[in-house]
Amino acid sequence: MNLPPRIRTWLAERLDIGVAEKFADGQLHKPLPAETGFWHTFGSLSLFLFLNQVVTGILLMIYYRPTTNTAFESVRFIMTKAHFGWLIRGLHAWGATLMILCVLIHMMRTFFMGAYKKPRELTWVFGVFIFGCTVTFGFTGYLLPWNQLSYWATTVGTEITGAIPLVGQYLKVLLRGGEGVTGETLARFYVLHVVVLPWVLTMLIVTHLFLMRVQGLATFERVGEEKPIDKSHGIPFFPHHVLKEGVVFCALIGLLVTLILLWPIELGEKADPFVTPEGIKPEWYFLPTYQLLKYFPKTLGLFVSLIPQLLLLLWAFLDRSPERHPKKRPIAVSIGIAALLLAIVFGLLGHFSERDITFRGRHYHIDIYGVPHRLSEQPKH
Amino acid sequence: MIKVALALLVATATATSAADISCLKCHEKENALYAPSAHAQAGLTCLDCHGGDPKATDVTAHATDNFKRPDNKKAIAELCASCHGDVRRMNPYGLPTDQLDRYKTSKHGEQLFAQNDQKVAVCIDCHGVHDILKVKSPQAHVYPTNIPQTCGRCHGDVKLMQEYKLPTDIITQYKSSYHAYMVFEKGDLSAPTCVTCHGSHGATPPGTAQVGQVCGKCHVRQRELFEKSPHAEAAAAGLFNECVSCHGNHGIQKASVELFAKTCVQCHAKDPKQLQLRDDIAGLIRRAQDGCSNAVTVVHDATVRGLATDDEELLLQEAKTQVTQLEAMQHLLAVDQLQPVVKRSDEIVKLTLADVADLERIERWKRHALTPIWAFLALMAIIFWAKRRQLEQGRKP
Repeated sequence: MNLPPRIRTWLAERLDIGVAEKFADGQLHKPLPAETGFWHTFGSLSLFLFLNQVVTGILLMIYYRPTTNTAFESVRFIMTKAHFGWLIRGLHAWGATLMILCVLIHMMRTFFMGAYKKPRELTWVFGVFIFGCTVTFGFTGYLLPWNQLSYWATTVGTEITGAIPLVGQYLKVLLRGGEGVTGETLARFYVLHVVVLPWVLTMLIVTHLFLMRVQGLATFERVGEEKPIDKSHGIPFFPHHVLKEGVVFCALIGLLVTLILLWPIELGEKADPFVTPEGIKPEWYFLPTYQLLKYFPKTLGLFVSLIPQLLLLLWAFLDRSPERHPKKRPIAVSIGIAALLLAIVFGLLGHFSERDITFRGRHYHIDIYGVPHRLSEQPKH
Repeated sequence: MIKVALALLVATATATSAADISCLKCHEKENALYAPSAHAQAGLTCLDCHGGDPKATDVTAHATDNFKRPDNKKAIAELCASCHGDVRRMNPYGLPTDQLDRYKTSKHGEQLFAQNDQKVAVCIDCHGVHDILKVKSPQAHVYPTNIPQTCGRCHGDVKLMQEYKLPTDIITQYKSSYHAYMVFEKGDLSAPTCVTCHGSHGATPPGTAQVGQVCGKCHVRQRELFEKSPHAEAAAAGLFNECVSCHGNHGIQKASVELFAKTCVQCHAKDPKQLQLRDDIAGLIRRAQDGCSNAVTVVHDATVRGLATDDEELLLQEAKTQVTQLEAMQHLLAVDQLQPVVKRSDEIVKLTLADVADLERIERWKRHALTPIWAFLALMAIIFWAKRRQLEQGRKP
């Protein structure tokens, strides 16, 4: 690391910077496996988006007021009066969506490349927790604008907690701060969103990164047969891999700005507990679970929806095959593809359910289970 | 000291409840109704209305000179008025004392006092007997939301009303009216119920000459403008029943432009000039209403999308004021006076729409920023890529 001589001297007189320099150099120039490609950049992209969420979140907190009388108005102020408030909110809201997408792609890459296998099971477990934490961020943050969609989506979302046997009702009241979604809920979600979750996620990310750095990136070599990567064959993290990440970062920033400008985040209408709007749907990342819950009675549905999450968490311990290359793991890869397809199908069913659509000149009503029913006349809405 | 206080307490309790206790022996049901009443809260007991012997514990309690069990409605009205007509007694409660005088001017009172008709309503028929509550209590029979039901007990009774040749569907009509919608659906207790138009103690149907005054108590501006219209003259000549002729009475609906098509033809079916005037007025109102309604939708959509529409919302309020003014002004039947208001409304709507279009133009302009942003990012990506390739080539043996 090349520090300006005067600063280096100043620091050297006070600290043993040799150790820090050695550590920084080691990390910076650590060789990565030769198969490290663009798919490996999604972890860094997730981290970058997390930092984006922290910075834009702090800026939003300057004007945001978490009470039922002021939350919606303060968001409106941010969007219409505060300088570049619309941009900051756009970066935060679209950044959240992209962060969940990047974390998901990063997890899929890890899964299909068998990177979760021994000795990296704990890294995987921490990764699953990071995913859970990111989704919880999305859930708690969705309520904060206090508009109709956020209010009713939270009402439906928190209602599910009540289905947990024995403690469900207690948990629901604890989460909401009462029987209904009120100012108490807003305060709780705000504290979770801006105080609790950021620290929890920071700790999880630090641990995840630490494990990843200590164990190094996985190769396609079989479990127990991995060879150390020497500097002549590996790709240096800096500047080679960082430059590759730079290319992807440019695309990500472009995508983020495009989304903000072409599909700006709406303000919506202020939450009204007495008026339930039609077609309340959760955010896209909750749609598969939302749809799955419809096919089962309340409590059973909750347990069924927990199965994929538990499988995800324990997968690193359940898959005992030493192979990493996807071509040599047909069963695991098939399960992964089937799970992905199921999530997409359930997500699409959730998206189109309870809607009237027109397809090839014919009108249909899609019921709550996603089954289309032919309509005799054109839907009014 | 404590002994004295206790003795006083017991003595007071004994004095005030003695009468009740002796009456209660037989009249538990009446007491259950009476306990939460306004009279009980004011400290009145059975004795205050009925007299009797408070010490007797059997039927001999009734065997006194002052015992009253009024079975004549005239006597009931007078018994109530013995307190409610007493200014000194009513002053602490802020209650009026002219109810009996007003009652005597009502159709109910006229029938009772002039013809001794015992079937007409007297105080207890509307307010209750033992269960009289304060008017502002939502459970009171005369609370605004309970009035239609209270009046309807007699005025919805087919057998009873046949004797007086009165219709019995007025309560049903009222419940379908816009006034009832305001009272029951919107919870607006200032909206009219039966007593607002007919009076309460002095209840009487407004005659043709008074209808305008009755409606004008609330619809002041409409009444004022109507008085200046050609219709006022026709109404004064008895050709026209002011408000009722067009709007109806008990089943009155929210006035809309469609009313012109239904009502004007009742009198002017064969008068093309008047029908043309009707179409002109209706056209102007519709133009202003549609323009305003369109602007409301446009501004609302822009607000939901997160655009800064505070100024446009203020403009809309002004446009709505013009439309409201227009709805009242049409009673003048003067197109030349409506036109400037419609013009002003059009101008405000145009200004509002132009403002929203400006806001949308800014939004579109923001999108142009995408080109330089993408150009810069593409350049950066190419530089990173080129540098990486250069490094890769340098690493190859």
